Amino acid sequence: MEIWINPACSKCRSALTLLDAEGADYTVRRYLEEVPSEDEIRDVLDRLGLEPWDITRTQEAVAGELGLRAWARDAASRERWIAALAGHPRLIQRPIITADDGTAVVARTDEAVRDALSR
Amino acid sequence: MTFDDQGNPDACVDPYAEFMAREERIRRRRRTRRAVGAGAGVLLAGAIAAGAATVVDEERPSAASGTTVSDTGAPGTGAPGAGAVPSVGVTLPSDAPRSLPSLLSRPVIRPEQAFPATSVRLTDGSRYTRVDLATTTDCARGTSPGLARLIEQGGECSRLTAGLFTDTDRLSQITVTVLSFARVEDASRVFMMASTDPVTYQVVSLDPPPEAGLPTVPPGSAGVFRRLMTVRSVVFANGQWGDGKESREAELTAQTEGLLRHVNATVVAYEEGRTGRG
Repeated sequence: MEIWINPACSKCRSALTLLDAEGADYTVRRYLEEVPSEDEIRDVLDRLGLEPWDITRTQEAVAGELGLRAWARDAASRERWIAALAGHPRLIQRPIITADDGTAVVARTDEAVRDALSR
Repeated sequence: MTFDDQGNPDACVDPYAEFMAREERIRRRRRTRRAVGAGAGVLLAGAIAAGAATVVDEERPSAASGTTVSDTGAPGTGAPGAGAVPSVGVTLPSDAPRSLPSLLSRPVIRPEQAFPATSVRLTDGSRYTRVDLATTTDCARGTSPGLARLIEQGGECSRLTAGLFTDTDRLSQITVTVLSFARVEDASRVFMMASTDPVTYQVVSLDPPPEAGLPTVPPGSAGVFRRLMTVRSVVFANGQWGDGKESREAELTAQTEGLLRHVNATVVAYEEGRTGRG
């Protein structure tokens, strides 16, 4: 199990606390420092079953600079979104847990963390 | 980042001199044990930092006489950045308040005790809303790498709790963090080093959660960094404008220091046994 976190994110700290409480075996990836490649983002999206715009933090300043709100959310634009996430990792929603069964969840609630643990 | 620190809002007071003077008054007047305890939070940090600290850094021989030298980090790194953190030894002074063991027998402050309210009004009339709260017993998760390594040098860091506040105009973002230790010496080590180098030894400011409707402060933005020490905790306050701008520094500093003092007073009251029996 791997969890992508940003130390400035309270939900990430909560998720880690819950993983510890449950005795989970996991690896922490500080994704702002160890930035995921476009391939890794594609892989995580496949595991999540989501599109890149679904895990994009549009309240980030860089989202405004890029004008993300105006970007099309369709198959033709998918690679453009993925490139934005890889180029500006602060845009990536967090925490993301990749579960042992190969799936992944955006673990912003205790329920989502427990869901990942149960997989 | 160009806002200045970085210092202690009470820096005009020599804490060691204050400690000694106060101790003398205590002895003269034979104050009760409770009175001694009431002063400990303010007094201990200064006593330890001024009287019994040894900073060890092989790369940069100390200008202070009597300071020994060695290094725990990679050679040639100079400042204690990603790889090197000086070894810092801190011991309690022989004249530490006798009430200290009983104060330390209390549990460390819990999140709801350190940050009991979501709305805060300070004595100057300013108001703030707490938009997030996070706590962890793995303190390294909320600190810079340098501070995490400094903490590892000592005993247990019991809990890190952080609250993110914004002002009524929702323009400022001020993270107040309470870092609590099992031993006074470890809190003192952190306080001393963070006061010396507040960038290397800093806690991580919280990003606002999406539901707060606040912008995330752009990376690298200017900030105001302050800290105070209680009995066994170091209380940090990191203040920034949400848009990351460097304007209105005095206003941001006042907000940051005001919230720092507010939370610090809450923590001191708890750790001295005046509130919230744990």
